[in-house]
Amino acid sequence: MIKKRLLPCLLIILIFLTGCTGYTESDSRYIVSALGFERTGDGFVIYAQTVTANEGKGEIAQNSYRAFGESLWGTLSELKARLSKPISFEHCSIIAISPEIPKEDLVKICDFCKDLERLNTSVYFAVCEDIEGLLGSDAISESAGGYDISSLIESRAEQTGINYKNRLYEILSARENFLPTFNLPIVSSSTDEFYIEGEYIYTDFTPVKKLDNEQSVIYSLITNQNSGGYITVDDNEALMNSSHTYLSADFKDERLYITLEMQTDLKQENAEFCENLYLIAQKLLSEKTDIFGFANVLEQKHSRVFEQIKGDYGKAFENCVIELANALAKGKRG
Amino acid sequence: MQTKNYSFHIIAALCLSVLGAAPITALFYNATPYSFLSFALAAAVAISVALIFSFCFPRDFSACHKGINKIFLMVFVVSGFLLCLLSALITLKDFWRLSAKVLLPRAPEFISLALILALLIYFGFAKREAFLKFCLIMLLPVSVTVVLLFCLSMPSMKLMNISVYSLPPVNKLSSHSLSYLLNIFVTATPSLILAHAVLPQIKKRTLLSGLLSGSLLLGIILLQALLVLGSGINYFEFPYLSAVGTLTFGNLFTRLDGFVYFMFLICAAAKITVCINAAKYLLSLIKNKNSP
Repeated sequence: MIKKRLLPCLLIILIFLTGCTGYTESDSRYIVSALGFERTGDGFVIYAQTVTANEGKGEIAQNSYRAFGESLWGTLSELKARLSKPISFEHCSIIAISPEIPKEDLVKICDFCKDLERLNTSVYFAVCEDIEGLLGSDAISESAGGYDISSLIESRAEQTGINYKNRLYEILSARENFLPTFNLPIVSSSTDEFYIEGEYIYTDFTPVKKLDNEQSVIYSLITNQNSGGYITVDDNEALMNSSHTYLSADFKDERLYITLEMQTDLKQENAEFCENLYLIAQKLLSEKTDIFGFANVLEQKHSRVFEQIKGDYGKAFENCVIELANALAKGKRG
Repeated sequence: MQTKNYSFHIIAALCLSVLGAAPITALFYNATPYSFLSFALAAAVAISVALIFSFCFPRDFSACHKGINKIFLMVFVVSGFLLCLLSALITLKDFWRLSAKVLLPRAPEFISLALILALLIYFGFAKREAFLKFCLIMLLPVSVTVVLLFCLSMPSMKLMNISVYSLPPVNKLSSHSLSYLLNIFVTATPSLILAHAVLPQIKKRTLLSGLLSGSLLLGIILLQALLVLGSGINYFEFPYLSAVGTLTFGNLFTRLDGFVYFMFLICAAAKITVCINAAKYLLSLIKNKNSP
């Protein structure tokens, strides 16, 4: 009988034992809602937007702190030392980075965030030119500015279909690609609102192109990252439920040929709208660097072509011919 | 023991012990889109080998006391014994690593180890039926957790992470398959030895069901990790935990990975218990002069 009772007791104790260490009341710790990273001449600046709950009064207070140090872990220790209570990263919803952060430091930041105790790997990444201003801005909702930004990213992604939701684990995954390519929303704040003013395209962890909101739509269509929504070109808005861009490639006469076929369900009466859309697409496709991550598609789907160019992909792409197969607009370059 | 009545219990024990520490480590090394294909291939080979083994392994050891059979069996029994011990130690080490780094990071290391040792000591003193009942009861929550978390992760999954557009190079596929095969084989063998030898009346159908259900659950776990994290799986020490960790419901419910800790504990404890029992059985064969 004792043995029969022992097993369930043992299991319950073991399962709940993990919750027994490091427990702190929510009003006796700083809950980090957003983190920011900047690079200075000889070190890093970490910004932390925190919320503290006063459970007795039912109030929530938002604060922002910053610390400077030569290494990321050293800066974090410096930040912790300044605060009177322990900090928790469990509910951090956004990581803002400065576009000036060089490649090797951005990789370090990603690794740092991955190893940060209990930081969720599905935290959003965003770019901001004034991180101190962004994280210091008052919340629009009753919680914290960081949560308002993550809600903004989610609602804009839902509304426009653009993939603004690049998360930490997706950026880490991108590192494994032949050409790590990802896009991060540019978030800014004014006195009474947060807004997205476009995207930064990162290739190999370096920001290579800044896109406005119109270009972001086209970028998402070409890279098959648009889930459908309202798209705006020249102040005209149209609803698009589905889209797909097919890529075919060939390598002949020492030259790479890429053909893109963009299929959307935009209606015929939007012909002018479509034409404008394709004009923007062509302009983007004239970039001399592969901002779309075509290399990764070629590696996966057109391995025969890819094998011939992977040795000097940069040069091959520079000289490649990209054709946008569409009745409305056609163009070649190279 | 009436073996007939314990068929489901044995299936559950085999299933949990096949899982073992594999959900913790997720078995992937240098993952590529070919990884799941390699895993499926390795699982099929491992199950086939296990079935062949169950047909060829003699039920009556006293009949094999002469000549080449005796030498062959002695080599087999000794290597099986070492394999069981190695398998138990690897599982214990993997769980300890998880426990020290994730479950109780601030506690002294021996406390992290005490988590699983307490359960193992209990099974050491309890009757075999208690362990089998434990496995049967725990199979349901483990299976439900795995399937539920897989379904909840669907919005974050990217099919391109496992999409294969051309036949993978043979060397890539075989090297991946071999590493999974070794892991699956090391995982499955002790449970097979135990089920086959300790419960001699057990049907082959029961063995097959246990191994298949374990491989299926493991397949779902690995598929989830690969579909969510893609090749980024290589950057995570505990990929399945990280894949589950990406599940969030608003800003409040952000740590659903807590649900899988109990699964890790149960699967690791089941596998170590099976390995130790199999090792004890094989040791008794080595010591027994009438046996091989």
